[in-house]
Amino acid sequence: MDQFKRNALRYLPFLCIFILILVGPFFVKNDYLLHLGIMIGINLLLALGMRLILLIGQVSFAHAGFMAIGAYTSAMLSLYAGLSVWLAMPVAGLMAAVIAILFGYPTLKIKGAYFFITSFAFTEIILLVVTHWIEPFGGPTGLTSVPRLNPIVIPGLGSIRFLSEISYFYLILAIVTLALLMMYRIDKSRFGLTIRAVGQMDTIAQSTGIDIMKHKVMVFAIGSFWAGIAGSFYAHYTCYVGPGNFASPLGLNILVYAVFGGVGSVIGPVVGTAIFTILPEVTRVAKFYEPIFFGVSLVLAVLFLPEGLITLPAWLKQWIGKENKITA
Amino acid sequence: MLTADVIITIIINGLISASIYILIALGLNLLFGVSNVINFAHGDVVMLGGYAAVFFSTLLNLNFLSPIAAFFILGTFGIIAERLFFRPLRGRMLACIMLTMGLGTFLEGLVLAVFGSLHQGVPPTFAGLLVLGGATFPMQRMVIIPITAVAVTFLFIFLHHMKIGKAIRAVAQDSEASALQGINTDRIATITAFISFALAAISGVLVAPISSVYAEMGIMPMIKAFIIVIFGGLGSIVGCVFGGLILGFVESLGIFFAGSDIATIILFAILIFTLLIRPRGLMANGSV
Repeated sequence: MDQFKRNALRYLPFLCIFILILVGPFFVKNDYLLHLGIMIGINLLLALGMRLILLIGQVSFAHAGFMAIGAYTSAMLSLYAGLSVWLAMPVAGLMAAVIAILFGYPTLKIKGAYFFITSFAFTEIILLVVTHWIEPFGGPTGLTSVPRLNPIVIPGLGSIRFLSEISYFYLILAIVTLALLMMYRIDKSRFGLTIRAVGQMDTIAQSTGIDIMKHKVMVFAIGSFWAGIAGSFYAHYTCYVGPGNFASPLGLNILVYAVFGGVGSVIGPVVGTAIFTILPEVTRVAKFYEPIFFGVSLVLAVLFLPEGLITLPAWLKQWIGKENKITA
Repeated sequence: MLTADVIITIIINGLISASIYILIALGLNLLFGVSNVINFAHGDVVMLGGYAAVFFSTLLNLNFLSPIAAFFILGTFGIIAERLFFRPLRGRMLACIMLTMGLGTFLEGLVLAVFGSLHQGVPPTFAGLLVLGGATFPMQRMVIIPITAVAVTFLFIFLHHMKIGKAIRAVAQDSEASALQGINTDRIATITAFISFALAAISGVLVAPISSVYAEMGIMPMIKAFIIVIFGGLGSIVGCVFGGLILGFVESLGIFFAGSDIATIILFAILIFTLLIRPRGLMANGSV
């Protein structure tokens, strides 16, 4: 009972926030805020996958590429083959995962900076292919009039049609909740411990009998799966897919979302994604000064919060403590 | 189709792009070898070099001052960046990647705020055309080849026959061991950052008249320079020159036969396959 109480207290704040997000749209009828919420959701899917890949010790730039793969797969399936989006979205995720396995199996043995540049090249190749072949991919202008999600018909109750922000908001909320639960389960499982071991010192992990390549490829595939889902959702939400959406700023942004909350826990990416999705929106009024603001906050965060934003309270406490000591 | 002038055009164009990329790649390479920093702001230093050319040639009308001024001003910026950013983050790859990308974003934003998003032109310093076996080239493009050759030779002599240069190579090989020999590794890192940024600045000044100057002008050359560094192996000058020549010719041939998109795809594919076979580059030997 005591155990249960303690657990309940621990999860109470999260539950409150979740309920707040759940009922929020009924009180705040603002499409822009809902759009912001949807973007946070999409970015969070990317960040959660990225965090898992960072845990195995690989810094990847390929996540933008996998998002592009997901977006194009599902847009093309629904545009050309007339497949229901509800089917196209998981297929897009699986497609990203399969390509991640094909690409990751040979390349994940490459380490550090070299892997980073390999993954960079991967994303560039994907974008160049998509830009060059106008026939299926739409070329530089991309694919327009990508269908929205098909309506769900509930017999007797009518149908849910995906036309407004609010319906997309609840859908992404459901997907993100699923992803968060999955990541949380992975963290608490033996698999989660194993991938941390692989990430920290893969040779030692290998010497204890862990198949490190299998784990690296699996994690890479899981992370890319969510990137594919995010891409697909983005395509059907904005009704547009173009190579410009996935160009190099996105790769950096995904890393920022994943790292700046702190990769130690699942909450880290949530905080990082929320802050770094809202920040550019707030500074957008400043136009040209927006990249300056982004750059400065990035540099300061790297220099002063190496373990992520969730260490900010502890850091402040320590800093204030130090100040007090000096004055005393 | 393959007449003499076409072949000459392909070769010379290959040499010209190789020269530009080599200048950029050498700086990246040195900095990685010594400080273990993959500098994603390097392309933006090239861009700043371009804007230095805009500033000195168009606004002040002092054409010949721009390379010298860019060399020293941006070299000094390199020293500042080393002190403020690279030194505290030594040995932390992810942090370095994020920081240098942040720095790059900041620099691009700064330039956008100051100069606006319009592409700026720079009048050529060297006017005239050069006719080589039926093919003509603007002088401004041609001079890049000898300038790079001179710079590479100087750098080679500096690194192999002078005390500081030898110290730089020693630190790149093993910074702890060289510290034990009495080499001031922090000072070496500072000097390396100066050289690295100054080389990028020079290439920016050289590129400015032949392509226009804008905030993202350094990104593509920097990516190409990364490919070279990988081909040649991080930390090898000869490999860097070699990689640069391969890349220059593959690009020039690819553009001629298949267009620039396909050429770039081929380059990236070669890069990935190279790393699959040699995960540390073609000529990696851990020295500069």
